[in-house]
Amino acid sequence: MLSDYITTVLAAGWVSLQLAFVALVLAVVLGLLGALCKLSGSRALRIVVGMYTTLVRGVPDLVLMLLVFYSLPALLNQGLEAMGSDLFIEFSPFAAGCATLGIIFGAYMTETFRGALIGVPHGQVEAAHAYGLGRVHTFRRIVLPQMIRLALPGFTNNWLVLVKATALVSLLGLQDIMFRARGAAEATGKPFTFYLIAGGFYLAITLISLLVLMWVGRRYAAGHRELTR
Amino acid sequence: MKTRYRNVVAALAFTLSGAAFAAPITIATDATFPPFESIDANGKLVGYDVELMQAICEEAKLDCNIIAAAWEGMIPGLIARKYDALISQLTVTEARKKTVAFSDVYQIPSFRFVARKDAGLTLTPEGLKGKVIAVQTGTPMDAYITKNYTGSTIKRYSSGSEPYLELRAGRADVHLSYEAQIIHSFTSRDEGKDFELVGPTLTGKDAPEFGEGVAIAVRKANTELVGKINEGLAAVRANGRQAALDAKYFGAE
Amino acid sequence: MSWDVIYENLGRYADGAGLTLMLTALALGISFFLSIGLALARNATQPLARGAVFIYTLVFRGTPLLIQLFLIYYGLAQFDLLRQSFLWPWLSSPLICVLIAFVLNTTAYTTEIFAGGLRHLPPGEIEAARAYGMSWWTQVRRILLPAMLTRSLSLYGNEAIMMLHATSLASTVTLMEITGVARNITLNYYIQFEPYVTAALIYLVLTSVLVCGFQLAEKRWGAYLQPRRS
Repeated sequence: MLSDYITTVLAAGWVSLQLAFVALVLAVVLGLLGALCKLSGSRALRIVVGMYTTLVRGVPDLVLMLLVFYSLPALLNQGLEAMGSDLFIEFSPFAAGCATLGIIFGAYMTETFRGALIGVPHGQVEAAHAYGLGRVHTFRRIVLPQMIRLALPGFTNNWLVLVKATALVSLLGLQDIMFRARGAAEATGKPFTFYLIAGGFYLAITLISLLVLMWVGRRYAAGHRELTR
Repeated sequence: MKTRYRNVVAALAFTLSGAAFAAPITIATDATFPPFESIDANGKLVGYDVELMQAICEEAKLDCNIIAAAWEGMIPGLIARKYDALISQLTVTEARKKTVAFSDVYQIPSFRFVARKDAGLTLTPEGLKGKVIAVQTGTPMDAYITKNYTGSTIKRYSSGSEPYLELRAGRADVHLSYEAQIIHSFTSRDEGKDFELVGPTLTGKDAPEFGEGVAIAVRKANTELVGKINEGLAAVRANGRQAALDAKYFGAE
Repeated sequence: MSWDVIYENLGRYADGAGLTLMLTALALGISFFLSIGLALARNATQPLARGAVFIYTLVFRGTPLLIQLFLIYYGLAQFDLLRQSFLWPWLSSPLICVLIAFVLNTTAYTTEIFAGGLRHLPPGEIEAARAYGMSWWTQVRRILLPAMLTRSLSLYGNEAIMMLHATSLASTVTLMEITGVARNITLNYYIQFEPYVTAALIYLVLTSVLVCGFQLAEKRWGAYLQPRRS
C-alpha cells in the first residue's frame, strides 16, 4: 500500500516535468518576443511589455496563478456570455497550468533576454550586415550564439525557479507530484515521508539541471576569452 | 485503454445520432473526500460519487469526463463554465441555490463531530468555548460552526482530509464533517484509533445550513443538462444501480 | 461584477495586509542576522563550515518553499516523540511553523547573496585594514559588513520582494494573510475575478513601496560604488 503510493507520487513527477518543459518553451517564446518589443522602436509595444513585466514581478506567483487560472477565464467567459455568445473558453487543468507558468516566467525571461540582447556588441551586427548577411542570418549566426552565452546565467536561474514553482499548481488541483504527495500524506497519515520524497525529487531535478547547464555554459563560452588572473 | 475505446465508440454514436451533447461534459469533484471521492494509491479517481456519476452518465447517454479539481475553485469554476457539473457531496442549501442549479437529491447525509476518545467535550457552543474546531472551508459544516460556535477558534482547511492530520497533531480539538467520511477516512483506520464520533447526529432538520441533501450542481442556464442528469438519476434508482453502490460503500443501510 | 463584496470585506483585506507585512518583516529581520553569520562561515577558511553552509543553502534553494512549509507544518506531527515533547506547544502554532519555514528559506538565499558580496570585496580593502592593525572583529565590523551589505543591496532588495511574495503561501496552512482572505472570499461568495484582482493590487502597491525603499537605500549607502559623474 505504502509502496503503491510512493510509485504513484514519483510517477506524478513526470507530470511536473512535462509541465515545466512546456511552460519553459512558452516562457522562452514570450521572453524573446517581449525582449524584442522592449528594444523595438514602437513606444506602444514598449509600454505594453513594460506593464506585463511590472505586473508579473509585482505580484506573488501563487496570486498570479489564481488570477490566470480562475480570474482570466471567468472574465473572458463573462464577457462572451454578455455578448450573447454560446462560445466559451475551457482549459484543461494541465493546459491552464502551462499557460499560467509560461506567462509568469515569460516576464522574467523578457528581462533576461533583453539584457543579453543589449550585451551583444552592435558593431558585430553592423559588420554582419556589411558582409551582406540578411537579418535572419545575422540573428541566427551572430546574435543568437552570443546571446545564449550572456543569457545563460539568468536562464538557469529562471529555470530553477520555474521547476520549483510547478509545485504551486497542486493548489489549483493539477495532479503533479506535490498534489499526489499531499493526497498520499493525507490518506496514509505519513506527511513527513511523502513531502520528503517530493522534496528529494525537486532537489534531484535542480542538481541535474545545474550539471547540464554548466556543460552548456562551457560549450557556449568557447569563443569567449576570460581575463586571465 | 478499454475505457478510452468505449468513449470513442460513445462519441461516434453521438455524432451519428446527432445528439446535442457531442462534446464531452466536464464534471469536477474534490478528490479529498473518501469514500465519496478520492484518488487511490494508484492515482485513480474513485469513490461513491464518482461511480454514481459514471452510472448516471451511462444511463443518460452522456459523454462524461470526471476530473479532480481544487475545492475552492469548484463552484466559481462551474459558473465560469470551466466545468459543466459538480459531484462532490454538495449539499443543497438556500445560499447555493441562488448561484447554481441542482439535480434531484441523491443522498441525505448526516453530520457528526469527531474528537479524541478521552477528550470529554461537551458539544455545545458553551462547552466548546476556547476550543479549536476544524472544518473544511465553504462547506455546510463551516457555515454551521461559524454561525453557532462564535466562542471557539475555527480553523478552516481547503481540503477535506487535512483536518484529520490536524486532529492527530493536536492542533484541533474537534472536527465536524459527514459521518460516513469520518468513519471511512479516520475512525475505522489505524491512524484514527484514538478518536471517536461524538455528539448528536445532525441533519438538515437540525439546522438549515445542513441543507436538503446532496445533489449534482449544474449552471442555472443549463436546464437541458439538469434534465438529462435527473433522467439518469431516476434510471439508476429504478434499476438498482444506486442501491448496489449504497451496499458496496455503506453496507446494509 | 460584484465589487460591493470587496468593499464589504476591505477590513479583512486590511487585516490580511497587516499579517503579510508582519510575516515579511519578522522573516526578513531574523534571517538578516542569521545570514550575516552564515555568509562569513560560507567564506571561512575551514572546509567543514563552508561545506555545511553550502549544503544547507543548496537544499533550501533547490526545493520548493511549499514543500518545506508542509514538511514543517504537517510533516513534523508524524513523529510521536516530537509531539509529546516540550517543543510541541510552539511547533503546533501555524504562525511559528510558517516563520520557521520562511526564515530557513530566505536565509539560504540571503546567505548566498551576502557571501557573493563578500567575494567581490577588493582584497586591497582588507589588506589596508590589516596594515592598520585592526583586529578580526574590528575588520568584520568596520570593513567586511559595510562593504558586503552595500554591495548586496540591490540583490537583497530582490530577495526582500521575493519574501513578501512568498508570504502568500501562509494561506495554505490556515493563516489569513492577503491571499488567504482572497481565497476565502471566492469560497464564500463564488466569485473568482474581484477577490484575486484586489489581492494582486495590494501586492503591487506593497512591492512598489519596497522597491522605492531599496532604491533610496541604494542612493544613500551604495552611492560610493556607482561610477563617478564628472
